[in-house]
Amino acid sequence: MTGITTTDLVKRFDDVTAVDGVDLNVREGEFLVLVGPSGCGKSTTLRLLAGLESPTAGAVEIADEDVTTASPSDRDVAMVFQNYALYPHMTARENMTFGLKTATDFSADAVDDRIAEAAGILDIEDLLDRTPSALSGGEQQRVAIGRALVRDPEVFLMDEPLSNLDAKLRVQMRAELAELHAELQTTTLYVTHDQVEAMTLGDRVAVMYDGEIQQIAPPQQLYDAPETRFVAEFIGSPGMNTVEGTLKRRGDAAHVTWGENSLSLPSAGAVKPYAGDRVVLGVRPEDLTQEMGGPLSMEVTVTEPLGDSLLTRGVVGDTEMEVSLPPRSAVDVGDVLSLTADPQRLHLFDIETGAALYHSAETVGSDAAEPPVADTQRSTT
Amino acid sequence: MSLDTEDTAVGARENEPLSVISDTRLVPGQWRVHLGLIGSILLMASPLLLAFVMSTQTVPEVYDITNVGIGSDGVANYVEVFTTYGMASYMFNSLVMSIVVTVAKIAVSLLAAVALVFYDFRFKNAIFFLILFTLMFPVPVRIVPLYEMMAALGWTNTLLALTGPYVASATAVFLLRQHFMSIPDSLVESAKVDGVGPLRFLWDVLIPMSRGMISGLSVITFIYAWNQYLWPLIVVSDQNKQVVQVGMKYLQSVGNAGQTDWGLIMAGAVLTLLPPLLALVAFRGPLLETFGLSE
Repeated sequence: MTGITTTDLVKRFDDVTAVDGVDLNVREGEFLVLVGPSGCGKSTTLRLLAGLESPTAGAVEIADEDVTTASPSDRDVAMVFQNYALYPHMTARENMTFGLKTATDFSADAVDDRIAEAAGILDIEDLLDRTPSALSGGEQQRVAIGRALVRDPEVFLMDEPLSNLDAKLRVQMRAELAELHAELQTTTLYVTHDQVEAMTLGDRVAVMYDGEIQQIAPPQQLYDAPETRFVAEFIGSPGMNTVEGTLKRRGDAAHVTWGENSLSLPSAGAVKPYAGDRVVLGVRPEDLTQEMGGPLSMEVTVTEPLGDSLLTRGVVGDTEMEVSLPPRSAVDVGDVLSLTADPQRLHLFDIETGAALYHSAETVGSDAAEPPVADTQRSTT
Repeated sequence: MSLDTEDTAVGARENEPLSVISDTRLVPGQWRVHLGLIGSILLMASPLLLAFVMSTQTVPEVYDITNVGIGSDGVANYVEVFTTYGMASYMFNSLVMSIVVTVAKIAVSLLAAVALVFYDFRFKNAIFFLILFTLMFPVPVRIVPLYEMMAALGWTNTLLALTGPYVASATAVFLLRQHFMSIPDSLVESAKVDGVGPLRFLWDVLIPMSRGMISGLSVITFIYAWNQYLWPLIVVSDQNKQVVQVGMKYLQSVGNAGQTDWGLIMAGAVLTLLPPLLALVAFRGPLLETFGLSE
């Protein structure tokens, strides 16, 4: 049994293609996060699943049932909205029962029981008789989640539910959502633009860009082995540095050069492109370190002390890069730093398609099925 | 400011500056402003005050223009218009007409606004502009074809003819449409996901959320309908089915030896004013909200 399956889902608005052939498979009980920049089609995908938009092409299955043309109320889904969508003239309790009475056929007693149970889980027993205007943002969102809970749906659809909360409350609610899912095990599709939210909440994370899914993977694998240049740049805070350079080979060694800078790639046999090819090299800010006589030299343009690290932006060759230095490093704007990269943490991407060509890490994620990775392991042993 | 004001305003500290100002009756040194305000209020109220004064006077007293005191007739004119000249039945007819027009107009406009905001259909904007376009053709402009239509339908001299032309209202549709458009889409979508049907959504969500707007519109519509003169005059011929504004006209023909009995007419006018005035006073809150003037 599956939670949600979409097959080649397409949605076009006039001449704009918002969703372009999405194949998504959310397992039953899974918490899948759909993340991407604004306008990437993630919300439209969610709305297609809810039945609030009808697809131009493709099919949607929920709990092994084809619901492509079913009305929203026949899909057994409950939705949580970014702006909570509470009815302002009803109390929290009335908000929770209003849809319940239409969508389900619980008896009055059963309804009361369900409300009490959901209120207990969400810790909102004392707020049930207040109207939304007498609730804080976090409390309103709890009521909105409670409204979805009491329905006991097959699937939860959440459209950026935490985006309207302030930063501290967001972190708190994030943890509560994770707890809630661990308790209920209801299939959940969660849309967000915040990659930290995506990484912390998702069993798996689907990164979406320009109407297409770039990669679906568990959070750590997404970070360690991004399949496309976009995923590499999007995931992580800040994202991966990418720099266009030329691949050079000398004997068994391969390295990427741009300007005066050059980084050598371990296990050159695994590197697919030919010598002289233009490639995109990827390296995360946290995998760069300061080293005397290192192969890269960066002229510092901005420093951002984050407390636990000193984020430093500068120009390497003619490409802007970021490096995460230890806190309290003595770095000033205008300094020239000598940097080196962790050889195990380098990535190559195709300059045209952006597809990953090579990850230098020895072990990548749990299902390390990509040929480059397997090759890497063989050649290093 | 006095200590007294400070004590009472402790509970509502954020409103304090405003309430302190409004508690003050007269700011010393601003008596010229107050004098000007009082003068302009008197000027604006003078027709009403004169009407009230005349309604208590006898015919000779009215024609004596220097006599502006309360007359010697007292409430006799009021009793007379009510008992002898059928004012009670005119007012009842007007009340029925106004209530029917108000209820029907709000109901039709609500449905039209729901269709225009929450449904997708072809030429939606064109239809909306067509509705707005009818603002340029108020009832008086259409009076001749309307009358022909009523005659063809056999509706003349009935409540249907009296109220029918007022039921559709571009203003009400427009105001409700703008109000509905300010309701977040997610509320509608949430209802859709829960399977709440359109009529239930209208009744349980839209109407409660638009209570202020609907009450405001009702007051305006009620007063507008109450004040109609030309159309009832044309379409209703039975005097006992006539409305109050036309009934006032009948009062004018009363009188002895060519002298119009202005005391009687003014008593009628003051009575005619009362229901709209009461409606205004009772619903001033939502009325201000309708036009976005409330604080």
